Amino acid sequence: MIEINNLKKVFDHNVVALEKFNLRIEDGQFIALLGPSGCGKSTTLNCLAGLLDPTEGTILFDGKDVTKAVPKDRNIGMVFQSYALYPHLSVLDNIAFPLKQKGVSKEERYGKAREVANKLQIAHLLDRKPAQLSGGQQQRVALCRAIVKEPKILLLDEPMSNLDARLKIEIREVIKSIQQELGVTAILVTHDQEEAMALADKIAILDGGEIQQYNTPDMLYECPNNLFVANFMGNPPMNFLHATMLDATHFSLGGVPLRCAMKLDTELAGKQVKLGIRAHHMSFVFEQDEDHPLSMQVRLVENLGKELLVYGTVGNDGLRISYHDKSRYEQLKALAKHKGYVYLCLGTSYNVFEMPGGRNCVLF
Amino acid sequence: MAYQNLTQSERKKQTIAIAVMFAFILPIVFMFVIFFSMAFFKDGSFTLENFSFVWGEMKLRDQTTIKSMLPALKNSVVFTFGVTSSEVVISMLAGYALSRLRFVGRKTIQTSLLVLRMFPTLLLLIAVLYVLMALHIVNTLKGVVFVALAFRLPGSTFIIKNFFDAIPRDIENSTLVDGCTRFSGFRQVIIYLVKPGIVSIAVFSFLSAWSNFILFNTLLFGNKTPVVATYIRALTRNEQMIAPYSVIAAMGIVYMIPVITFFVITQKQLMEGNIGGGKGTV
Amino acid sequence: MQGKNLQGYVFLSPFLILISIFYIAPAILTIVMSFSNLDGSFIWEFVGFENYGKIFKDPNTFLILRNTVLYIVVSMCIIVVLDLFIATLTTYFIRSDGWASFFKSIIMIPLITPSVVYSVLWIWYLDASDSGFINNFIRLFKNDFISVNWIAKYPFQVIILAQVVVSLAYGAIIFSSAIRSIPENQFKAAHVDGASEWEIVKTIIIPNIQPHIKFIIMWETLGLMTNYLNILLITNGGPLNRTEVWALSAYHKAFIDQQYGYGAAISVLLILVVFMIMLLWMFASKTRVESEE
Repeated sequence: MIEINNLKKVFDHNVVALEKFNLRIEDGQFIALLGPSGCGKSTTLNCLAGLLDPTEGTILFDGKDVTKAVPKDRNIGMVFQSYALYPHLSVLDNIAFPLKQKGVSKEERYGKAREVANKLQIAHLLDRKPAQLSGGQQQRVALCRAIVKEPKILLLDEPMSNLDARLKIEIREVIKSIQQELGVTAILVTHDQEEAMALADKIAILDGGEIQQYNTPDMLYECPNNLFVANFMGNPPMNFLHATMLDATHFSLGGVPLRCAMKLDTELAGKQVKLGIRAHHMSFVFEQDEDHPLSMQVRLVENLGKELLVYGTVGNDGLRISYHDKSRYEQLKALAKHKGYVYLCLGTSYNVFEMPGGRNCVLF
Repeated sequence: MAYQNLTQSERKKQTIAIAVMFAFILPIVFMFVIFFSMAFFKDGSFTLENFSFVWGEMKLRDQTTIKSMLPALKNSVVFTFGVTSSEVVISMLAGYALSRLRFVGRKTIQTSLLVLRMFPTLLLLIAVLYVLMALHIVNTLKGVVFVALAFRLPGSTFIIKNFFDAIPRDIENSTLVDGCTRFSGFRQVIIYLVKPGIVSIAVFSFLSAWSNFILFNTLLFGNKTPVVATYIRALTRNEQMIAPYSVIAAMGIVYMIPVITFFVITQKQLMEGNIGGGKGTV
Repeated sequence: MQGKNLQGYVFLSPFLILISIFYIAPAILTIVMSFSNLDGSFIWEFVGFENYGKIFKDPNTFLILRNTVLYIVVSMCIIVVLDLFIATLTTYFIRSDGWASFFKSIIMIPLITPSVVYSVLWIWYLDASDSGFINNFIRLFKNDFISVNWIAKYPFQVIILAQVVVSLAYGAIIFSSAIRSIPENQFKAAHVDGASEWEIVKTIIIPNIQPHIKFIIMWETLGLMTNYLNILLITNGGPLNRTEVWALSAYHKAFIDQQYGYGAAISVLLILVVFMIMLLWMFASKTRVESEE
C-alpha cells in the first residue's frame, strides 16, 4: 500500500505545486492522476519516484517511510513522457540496464530482457538502436525497461501523449494487460480523461495542487463533486445551463419554471445554480407541449455514424445533445439552417452546482 | 540541398561562385604549398636532408649547429597531453555541476564564466609570472600547464555546460529510477550523450596547447625547457633567419603533422560552428 | 541542502582552485601592480598613480593609440566584409556540400597553423633577400626589379593582411551556419517576388544574421585589441614603433624593459576598455532579447 500524507512541495520563487496532499493506494490497483498542466500531478509522481524531495509530508510504501530514500532504493519502474531511452545502447541493453545496475549476471539479465521483450512483441527489434524505432516501438521498449526488474510500483508519466490516436489505443491495451498480469501497482499521470477512464481503477482529479475528487471512473463521471471535475470528465463535455432556484424543488431556466428531478442536500432557494447534464442524458422533441416548455435554438448538427450530435443554445448557454434517431438528420439540418427551435427534456439524471463555488448539491 | 535538384540558373550561379572562391583562396594555397615544398629540396634536387634535425644535431652551411628537436618535441607532447586531458576532465566536472546540481553561488559562477571567457588573458601574463614565482613553479612546464588550463577552462566549461543543458531531464531521471547513483549514471549514460561536446573541447584544447607560443615565450626562459614553438622561434628571430627557409619549412611540417591529422579527423566538428576561440586566445 | 552545496563544490573544486590561483589572483595582482614600480628586482614599492601619469606623458603613447585604433578598425572592416562574402558564396550560392566544406577547410588552414610557423611564412613571403618569394616572383616578369623590403616599407599593411587571413575562418563559419538556418522558404518567396540576388543578400541574408554580425564585430574587436601575437612575431612593433599597438606595448614594457608596474598599468587601461565593450555588448544583446519578446 502506498500512503501519501500531507505532502507539500514548494519550488523556487515560492511556487507551491502541492499543498496538503493525501492519497492512499491499495496494492495492485491502477491509479490515474488526472488534471490540467500545472496541477501538480507530475510533481506528485516525481516525489513518489524520489526524483524530487517533498518540502513537507511523508510517503510510505507498505508502511515503510521512503520520503528520504533515493530512487534506486524504492523498487519502482518508470516510463517517461519522452521514453528516455539511452541512445547509445541497443534495445536489448536498454531493457537489461536496470538489471545490470542490480548486479545481475549477463546471461540472466539478457534472458529476462528477451522474455519481457517477447511479451511486448518487440523481440525482433532487440539489436536496433532507439533512434531506429518508431514512437510506438520506443514506448514498448520503455515499458519493458520499466517492468524488467519486476518493480513493486510502476509509474507512468504521460506515456502516451506523443503517440497518435490509433497507437494510443494499442499501447493502452498493452499497458493494462501487463499491469494485470504482473499485479503491479500502477500510477499513471495524464491530462487525457479518456485514457484515465480506460485504464484506471481509481482516478484522482487534481487542480491547483489539491485533489478535487478521488474515486472510481464511474463515480467521477456520474457524480462529480464539483464543477471542475464535471468539466474535466467525459467527451463530449457535460452541458451547463444557468438557472435560479425558486424553492427547494423548483428552478427557473430561461424564465421557464421547472421541477427539479434531483434531491438536493441543502436549501438553495433564491440562489444561482448551474445544471450539469450529460449529452446522452438529455433529449428533445420537435413540437412544444406542456411537458416540454423549454426551447433550444438549433445551430448545427453532426452525423457521428452511430448517432447525431446536435449543437444548440438556450439563452447564452451552448448545448450538445446526442440524438439517436438518425432518420431526423435532414430535418435537423433544415432547422439548423433556419435557426429553428426544438424543445428540451432535461431527463432525470443531472447535477446541480451551487454558484459561486461549484459544489455539487445533488444527494446521491 | 542536393546538388542535382538545382535549377539551370542556380547551377550557373554556383559555378561562378566556385570560380570566385578559387580565385580568392589561390594566393593562400600558393603561399602554403610553395613554402612547405621547399622542405624537400636542397640545391634544386629532392632530398630529406632538411629533416635531419629531428633525430640529431644538424650542421648548417655557415657551420652553425642546430640542436635536435627531440627534447622540444617531447616537452610539447607532455604539455599538450597534460593540458588536453586535464581540461576535458575538469571542465566536464565543472560543466556538469553548473548545469545539473543546485548549490549556493551557482548563478554567480555561471555569470562570471561569460566574463572570464572573453577576458583578455594575454594581459595578465605579467602578474601570472609573479604568481608562479611565489609558488616556486616558475620556469617549469608544470607551471605553464596550470596557467594554460586556468586560461582555457572558462571557455571549455561554458561549451560543455551547454551540452549538459541539452540532455533531457527524463534521461537523467531514468538512470536514477533504473538503479544508478548520480555518478554511475554519469559514467554509463550521460557521458555518451555529451560525447560531441567532449570531442570539440578536446580538439580546441589540443590545437591551442600544441600551437601555443606566448605562454612559453613569457613564462619559460633560459632555454631550460624547450618546446617546439620556442625551438622554431629561436631560429627565426625577426631580424634575421638563423636557419635557411628550407629547414624552417621542414620544421614547420614536423610541427604541423599532428595538427593536420587532428584537423582532418575532426573537421566536421570544427565546421559545425562551435569554435572555441580565435587564434592565440591561449 | 547542506549536502547538495557540498556536492556541487566537490565537482567544481579543481576548476575553482585553478581559476582562482592562476586567473583571478593574477587579475587582481595586475591592478595592484599597476600602482607600484615593481621591476626585475621584484621589490614592491607603491607609487600611486605615477605609472598612469607616465603613460600620458610618454611621447609614444599617441602614436601607439593611433596605431591601435587604425589596426582594429581597418582589420575589422575587412574581416567582416570578407566573412560575409565568403559565407554567402559558400552557403547560399554554392549548394554543394562538398565544395562548400572544401573552401571552408582551406580558409581554416591559416587559423590552425601555429603562429610561430605562420609568421615565418609571411616573413619569407615578403623577405628582401634573394629567398623572398614576392621579390623573386616579380623578378620573373621584370628582370631588373630591385628587391623591396616589404615588411620594412609597408609594416602596417603587412600586419593587417596577416591578421585578416588568420581571422577569416571564425566569422565565415559562424555566418555560414547562421545563413544555413534561414528558412529556405524566405529565399523561394523572394525569388517568386522577382528579387535580384543582390537584393536577397541585402534584405534577407544580412538582416537575418544581424545578431551574428554584431557578435563577430564585438568578438573581433576584443581579439584585435588584446591579441598582439602576430604583430610580435612578424614586426615586433617595429620598425620604429610603426606597428606598436597598445597590448604589445604592455608586453614590451614588462617583459623586455622589465618595468612590471608600468606594463601592468598599460594593461589595466586596456582591460577597462575591454570591460566597457563587453558591458555594451551584453546590454545590446539583452535589449535585443527583450524586444523580441
